[in-house]
Amino acid sequence: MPGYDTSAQDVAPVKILVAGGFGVGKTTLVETISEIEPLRTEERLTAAGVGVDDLEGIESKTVTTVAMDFGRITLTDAGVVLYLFGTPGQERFWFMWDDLLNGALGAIVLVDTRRLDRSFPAVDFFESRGLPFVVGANCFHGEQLYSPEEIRSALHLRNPDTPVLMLDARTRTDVRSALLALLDMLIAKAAAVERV
Amino acid sequence: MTEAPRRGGGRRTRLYALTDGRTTAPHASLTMDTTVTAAVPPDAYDGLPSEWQAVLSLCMPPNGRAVAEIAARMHMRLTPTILLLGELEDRGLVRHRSPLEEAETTNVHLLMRIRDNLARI
Repeated sequence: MPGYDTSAQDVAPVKILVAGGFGVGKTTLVETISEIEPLRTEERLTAAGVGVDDLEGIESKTVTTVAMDFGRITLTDAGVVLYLFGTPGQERFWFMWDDLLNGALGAIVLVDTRRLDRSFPAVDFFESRGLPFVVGANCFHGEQLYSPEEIRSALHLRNPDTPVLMLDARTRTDVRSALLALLDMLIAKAAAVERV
Repeated sequence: MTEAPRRGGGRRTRLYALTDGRTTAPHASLTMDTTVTAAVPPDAYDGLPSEWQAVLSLCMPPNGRAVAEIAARMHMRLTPTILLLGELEDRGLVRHRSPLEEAETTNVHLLMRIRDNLARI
C-alpha cells in the first residue's frame, strides 16, 4: 500500500496570515483563492487579567474563544501546501497565541479605507514582531478614493517599501497578485541576506 | 478521591476518554499548521474508536491534512484535537510533517518555486 510507510515524501505545510479589521473581507479573500470552502477553527485562550478592568472578588482571568477562518492551496510542484489563515478579530489576544505567528511566511493586511483605523492593530503587531506583510486596499464596489501613496502614509508604515495594492477580495487574479507581491518581497529579502 | 463519581449525563463521548485522560499537551510539536497523515490503511481501523477512524479517514496519504483542518472537520477545538492526534501518533496510527522552519522559509530557491507555482494556479 503506497503512501502509508513513513519514508513517504509529504508536502510541507506553510502558513500565510490574512489580517485586518472586522468586516474588511478576510474570509472573502481566503474563499476566492482557496481550493476548499473556508473552514473555521477555534481555540480557547486563557490569560491572567491583562488590560481588563479588575472587578473585585471576580477571578481575574480572561478566557476567550478566538475563531479563525482558513483555506488551502496545494502547490504540488513546489512541494508545499499553503494555508491561508484569517486572523481572529480580537487583536488583543494575538500576543498570547504564539502558534499564530510561529512559522508564518508573511501576511496580507487588508484595509478598508473608510475604516482605516481598524487595520492599525494588525500593522502594529506585524511590525513589532518583524513579520513581512503587504497591504491590500479592498476596493468595495470597485472604487478606491485614495492612491497607494496616500494609504501608505495614512497607515504610518515603518517600512516605506511595503507594497500597497489595490484589490478586490472577490477577484482571484487580484488575490493572487497580492500573494505574488508578498512572495516577491520575501524573495528580495532572502536574496539580500544571502548576498551579505 | 473525595469527589463522588458522576452519574448519568449525556452519552456524548468525553474528551478525556478519547485522550486516555490526558489534559496537557506533550505534543508541543503539533501546531495548527502541522500536517498529519494516516500511517495505516483503512483495513487496519477495525476495533478503533469511531472518532479515531473518522480522523484517520480525514487525513489519508499522500497529502494528509493540517491539524486546523482536522479540528474544523471534526468540530473540535485546536487543543483537544492536538491531544487526540498526539495519542494517535503515539500508537503509530498517524505521522506528522512540521511546518517549514525559518531556514527553509528564507530560502530563495524554495520561495521562487512557491512563487512560480502560485503564478500558475
